[in-house]
Amino acid sequence: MGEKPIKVLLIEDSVFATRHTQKMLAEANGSQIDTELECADHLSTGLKRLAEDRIDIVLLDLTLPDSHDLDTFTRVHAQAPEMPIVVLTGLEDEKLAVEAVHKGAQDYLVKGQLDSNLLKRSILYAIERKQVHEELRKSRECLEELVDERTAQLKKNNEELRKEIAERKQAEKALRRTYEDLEIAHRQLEESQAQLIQTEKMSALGTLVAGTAHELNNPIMGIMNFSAHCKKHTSEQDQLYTVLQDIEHEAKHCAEIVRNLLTFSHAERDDDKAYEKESLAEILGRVLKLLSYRIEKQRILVTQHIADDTPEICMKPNSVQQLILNLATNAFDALEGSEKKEFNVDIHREGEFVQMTIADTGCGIAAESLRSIFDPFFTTKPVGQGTGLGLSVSQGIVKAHGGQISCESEPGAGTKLIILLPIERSKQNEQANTCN
Amino acid sequence: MANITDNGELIDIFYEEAQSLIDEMRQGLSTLSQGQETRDEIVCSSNEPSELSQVALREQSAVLRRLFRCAHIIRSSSRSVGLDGLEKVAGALEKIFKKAGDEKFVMTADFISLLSESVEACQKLLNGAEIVGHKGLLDRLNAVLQPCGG
Repeated sequence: MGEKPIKVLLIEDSVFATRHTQKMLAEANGSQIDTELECADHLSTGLKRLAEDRIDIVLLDLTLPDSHDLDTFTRVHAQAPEMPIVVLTGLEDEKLAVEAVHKGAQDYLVKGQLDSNLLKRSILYAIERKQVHEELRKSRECLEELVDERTAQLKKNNEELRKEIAERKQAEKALRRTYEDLEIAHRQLEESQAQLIQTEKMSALGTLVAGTAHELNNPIMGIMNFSAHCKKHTSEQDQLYTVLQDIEHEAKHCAEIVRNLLTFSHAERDDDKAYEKESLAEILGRVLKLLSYRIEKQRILVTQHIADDTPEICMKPNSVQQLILNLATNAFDALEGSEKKEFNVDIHREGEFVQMTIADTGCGIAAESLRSIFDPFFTTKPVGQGTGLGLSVSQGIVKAHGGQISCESEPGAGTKLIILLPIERSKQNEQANTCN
Repeated sequence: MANITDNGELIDIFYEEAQSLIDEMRQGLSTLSQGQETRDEIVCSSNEPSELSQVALREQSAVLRRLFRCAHIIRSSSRSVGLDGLEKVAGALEKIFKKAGDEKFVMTADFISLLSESVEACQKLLNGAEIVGHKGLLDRLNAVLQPCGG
């Protein structure tokens, strides 16, 4: 056994029983267990001893001078709940002893049927049982703690998982948004590409037109000269005279068409670097004449308010003509399908500037599109109908003149473009021009 | 383990303790009988416990508890040393003392004399004598243990 002897406290009032137990324990000593016996003949002294120093096991007689029956056990057990207790009893009290075991006693021994082996075994088993019981209790507590800990951990993990799921969902949403943005960008790129191709086509067409116009100019001049020569040598009464007049007229018409074509061709524009004083009203008139076919076809009501004191301004007439043509074309496009088809131009002096306001009663421009209208290649027209360059080029022209252009629009009500052009060219602009 | 009867010292302790317990029982019985003599002679079955004063009842109960303890020790010790006769008589007395205490018996002269006879029988048995009519005594004691006996 262990190095330390087992400390046994015998609470027993019979001298004989005490001595008898002592002898039985002494007999057992040296064999397997060593015991140290202490005795108390009253419950009160026994309890006092229990409170003092280490005791390993209590052998308890239930009938004592100061206590009897189950009460004796209850009081010892209450004071030392972890102490193994073996109840000593007579045959007649067996029922009582069994009850004590139910209430936590480790064992009971019947006096008179006792020998040293039985007593020894009982003591050992009682101590062992109590130890196992205690260990069990402790491990149960440990287990409960562990379960609590694990539960808390699980709860925490759960929380983290939930958070992660939320984060992933957020990331997924962001990814989807990025994907959608990319799709939009891709679509825009495709549109831009189509527009570029269109612009390229237009540019090629412009070159072709310019070349053709140049080539046509000489024969037209020939026709005009020849018809004038023939007219000179023909009597006005002659039937042929009116025919010659018609030829001359038609040739002039051809020349005008060619001139207009040249005005709008890049080649023509590139050749013209000179600024000259010109009236905005006059250029406007030219543009409206060019567009007369559309005005008639669309039944557009055109009104002009031109202030009398409006001065001529220093400009590149061909560029300004293109500017007005672009803006008017846009307006007419906007009037397509509109119930009220009005086109109004207002021109007046505004200090050192001339202000031209071009307004239509067309479909208007959505707020989100309004900020992009001057961007190159931005268009709301169907592919093939607009290059998206019109307003961008117009803005370029206005800026080259040292002016300003702005836009106001109300969807469903119409659009207003306000252009400010300086009357005189500033030095800065002149320099910019010579650099051109 | 050596037989207990071979252990002289332990046997001596047994006799010494048993003797003192018998003496204590005699004394206790004498106290009970004094209490009885101060009252009118009463028959157990026809008397109400309330006729005893509370103080007297408490005193009687304390004496019976001491008597019970003496009989209890003698009974369990005599079993250990193998004195069967003594064990039986002491055991019967133990039960009667308990019952008398629990049920608040009223002591009668006859009852006390039966108890005295039993205590003297214990003395004789302790001394090693065989008792004539020992069986009859046990019968009479057991009769008291029957419901409303004595």
